[in-house]
Amino acid sequence: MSDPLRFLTSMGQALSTMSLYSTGHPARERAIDSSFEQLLNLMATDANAQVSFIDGEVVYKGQVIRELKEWDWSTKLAKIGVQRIEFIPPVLREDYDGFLNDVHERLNQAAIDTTEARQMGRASIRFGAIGVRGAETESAVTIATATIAYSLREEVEAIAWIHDEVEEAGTLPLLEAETVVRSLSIAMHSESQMLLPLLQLKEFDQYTTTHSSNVSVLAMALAEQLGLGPREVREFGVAGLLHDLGKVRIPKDILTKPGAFTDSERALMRRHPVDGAKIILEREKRLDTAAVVAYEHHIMLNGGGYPTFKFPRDCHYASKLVHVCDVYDALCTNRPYREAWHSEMALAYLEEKGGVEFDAEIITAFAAMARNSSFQRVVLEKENVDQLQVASPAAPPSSP
Amino acid sequence: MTRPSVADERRFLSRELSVFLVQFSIALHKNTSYPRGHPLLQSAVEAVVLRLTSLLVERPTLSIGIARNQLIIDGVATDPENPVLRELAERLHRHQLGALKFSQGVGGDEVADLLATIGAASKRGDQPLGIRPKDELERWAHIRLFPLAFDNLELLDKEEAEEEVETGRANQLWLGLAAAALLDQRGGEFAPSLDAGDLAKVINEHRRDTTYAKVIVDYLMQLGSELRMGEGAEQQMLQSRLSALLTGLRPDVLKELLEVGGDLAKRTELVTEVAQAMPMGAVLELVQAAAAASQKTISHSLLRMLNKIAIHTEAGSQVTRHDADSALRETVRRLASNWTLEDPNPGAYTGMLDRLSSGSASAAVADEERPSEAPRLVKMSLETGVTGEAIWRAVDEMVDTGRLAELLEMLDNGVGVESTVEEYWRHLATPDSLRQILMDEQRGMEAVERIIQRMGLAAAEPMLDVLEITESRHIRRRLLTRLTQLGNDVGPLLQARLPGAPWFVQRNLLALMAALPTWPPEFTPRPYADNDDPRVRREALKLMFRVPEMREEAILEGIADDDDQIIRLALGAALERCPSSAASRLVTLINSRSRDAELRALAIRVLAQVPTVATRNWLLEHAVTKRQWFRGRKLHPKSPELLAILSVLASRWASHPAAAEVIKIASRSPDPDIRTAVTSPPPPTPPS
Repeated sequence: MSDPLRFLTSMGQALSTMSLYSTGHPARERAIDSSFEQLLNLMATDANAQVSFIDGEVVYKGQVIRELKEWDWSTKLAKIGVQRIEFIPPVLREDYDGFLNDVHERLNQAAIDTTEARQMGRASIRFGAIGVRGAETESAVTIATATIAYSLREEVEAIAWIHDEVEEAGTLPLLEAETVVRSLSIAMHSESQMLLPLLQLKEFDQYTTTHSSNVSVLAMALAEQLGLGPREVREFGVAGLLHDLGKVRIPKDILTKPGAFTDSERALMRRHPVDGAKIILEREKRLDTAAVVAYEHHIMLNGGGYPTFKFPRDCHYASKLVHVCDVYDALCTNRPYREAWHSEMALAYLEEKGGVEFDAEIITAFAAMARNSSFQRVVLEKENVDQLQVASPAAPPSSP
Repeated sequence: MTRPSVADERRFLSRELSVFLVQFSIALHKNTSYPRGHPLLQSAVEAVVLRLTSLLVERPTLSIGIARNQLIIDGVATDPENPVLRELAERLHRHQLGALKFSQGVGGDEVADLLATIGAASKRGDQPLGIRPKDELERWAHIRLFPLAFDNLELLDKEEAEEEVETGRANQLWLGLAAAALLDQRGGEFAPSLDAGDLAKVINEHRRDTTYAKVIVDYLMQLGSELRMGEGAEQQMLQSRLSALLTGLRPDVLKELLEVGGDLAKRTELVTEVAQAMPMGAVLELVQAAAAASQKTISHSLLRMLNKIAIHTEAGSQVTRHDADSALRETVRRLASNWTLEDPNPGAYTGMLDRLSSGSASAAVADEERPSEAPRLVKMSLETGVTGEAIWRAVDEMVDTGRLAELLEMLDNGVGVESTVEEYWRHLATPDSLRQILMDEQRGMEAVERIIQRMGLAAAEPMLDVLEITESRHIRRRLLTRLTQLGNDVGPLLQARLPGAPWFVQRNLLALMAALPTWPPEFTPRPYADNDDPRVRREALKLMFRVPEMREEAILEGIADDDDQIIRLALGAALERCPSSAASRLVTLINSRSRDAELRALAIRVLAQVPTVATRNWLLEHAVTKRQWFRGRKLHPKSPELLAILSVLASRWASHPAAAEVIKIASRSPDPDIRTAVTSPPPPTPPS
């Protein structure tokens, strides 16, 4: 049996085992260890190994692996958008673990946990859809169709400063946060059509900043779409901006850890809603909504997610709204090991979960907003925050 | 779904203001009830001043608008159904007062005098304060009373009145500024230039001292105010002039002027005024100078954002310009307001927001107006163990909106963090909190009971406060029961409140004292038995009946009283054991034809408790007519008194020949009542 065959077979076995056993179970860990060993064997002879899954066949080094013809996993992986896997040495065991977990979640249509969309280093395992060389794939669409005279540099830097202040000085500079929201709102309305000035993550160390800004913009736009008044719109914008504030209490090495979390690390990550609410409530008297949203934004319509309510109740409307924006932005953000989902794909995911995980009415409004031709999605790359590029309606994000 | 709705928007008075108003109302009430110098007045004033001082930490002034049955404070009207606040509004409104303003620095003497003035005027029914000479309304340094004009809520403030009649005020102010700018330079004889650039140059080069700086800053403040209030061509001209002046002043000069010429409050006010109407470039100049003068830092991030937004006030679409302009002005205003807070803690920030929310078209208003989801916040707090200003506000909101029982259910649920639940109890079980809670009849009684139980004796003072002012019989009854349940320890508190208290308070306190197993050793009800009001005398006598040494005196006084109910009480007490010294008074009472016949009949029964010959003879005399020639004795006409006499004779002197004769006559009577009176005399029963 060849090295690629042994590796792919072990990978399929590992994925099967993962569906049977939870994280940390010895059987699961053994299966991952075994598959990782096969991967190392493969990389010993082919350091930059690449495997593609096309039309039910597995292609390695331009050759179809005959033994894997009509292999179930080939079809399954292609179906969830994993048409190619690329390995870039060195690959660590935790990288491989993270990759398998991500694939496993996508296979099982698990709820998107935006906490996991953290700041990570560049990946040693990349995967995603592929296109025919020379043809334009969706992810390679150039999106610059217009330029507006508005920069988000100040906003981005102000958000980063706010996070630093919370973390280091222990204060929550509310006026600055509100001013950022006011400024984002001005940017949204700076043209005759409403713009969604969303930042595209380029460097993974910028995740928290760009994500906060994007969720704020999306929350304001959605609130407007739902007919809320200007003050509520801004209030929701502030809530969006501060929804992940609790992450300032998570050590940097965990936030930037490549690969999957351990149980204790995951538990720590999952504390951020409580920590966020505490930070806000302990420092500000009038940020009720932002505190509630920070606390509830990972709770699903069906009660799933976290933290668990000890007093059963419906989530606040703003929490439901920000939850949708949070997941959408996380899906549309480049991950170390995968491309950002296209807007339409993310919307389809949200719509599928509408009424179960997300408020159906909000999802409908969100999808309508994102697809509405009167809205323009603006993508800002990190190096180019001075210049907004306006994309055609509902266009996919640019490639990283 | 908890989707917010604009239609649902309601505003609630903050807890601090609400407590202050209740304290004020109580204090005013006491001033109408107790004489000047009464110790209770001092404690009431102290409570008001304490609250007021706390409120004025975060605001320069506190204004209370007065409507017929509501007070308007910080843009929020009090609940007209709240009996205490309604009464306060009515009382002030009767004085034709439209508003009341307290300023920072207000002291106990001023508050005491104010309360005494209003209280005394109310008590005597004097001329309403609102129509008294102006100097009477303005005699306090830190308190102003504003008369009600034309029976509506238009306030007649001196400055406003002047503004109405003056024209060209902005021009006059500008001229004044120009003159002031040249102060001391040309010996007062000059032709001041009205050009802003020239003026800026003069100020830049002028030797600056404290007086000069103060005058200039004062003019700037007045011009800023004028700019905000004025309209039309004159306002536009002023805006252009002021903008040019501010941008023409060197930054170091502007900073120095603000530093020397104004305190923090003045600088804040100036920035706030100017931020409303000046071009943003000038506003930012002023903000930075004022921040530097006040040793306040503006974060680099904020400054960059402000500068960025400022650019959009002059570029971009009309919508963008408008959005940027309002965003910037509001931010600057809030920034400046924040400087007045010594400690930028959450509470202080709220104070700032409170002030902002009292403005007219502030963008912040609607945000602050929408009620928070108090139960949600409370649940979140109990789940996470976090508390803070926002949480206490939510707790207070639940209490104030009649959701105390729901709140306590949450605490009892057992899922809350234990230490947090304890913190909640410490917050709820306070005198102020209880005072608020007791005012509202809507609250679940059980919940209130639990708080009282938790507080123990500390609950007595707030309960007594409410007992004094509530007009609700239900509340009063419940309070009396609860206070009684606190036992003997309440006695000294009652004793302290009794002297000098108004009749209805004394009545309640004496009734409470009567319900206690024992009284404080040094307490005596004796002085209250002489009270002018029969309701107080009645309660005092009840207490005296219980003291063996006072019993006889009480019965004697009671029988001799003018009040039928007191007489009845005394007779009831005497029925059990009547002192012989009461006989003559009883006879006097029985002979008093103006008294109710039933009362006199009861007195006759009591008289039987003094079995003397004189009594017997008196009874016989009043039972039958005198013997006449050819005719025998006959009974007096039937009456309650006659029936009582017959009954007493039959029960006490049946064996006496004269009485037996009378009994015999009665037993032959065709009237069954008369027959019954001598055959089966009813046992003496105490009156109901």
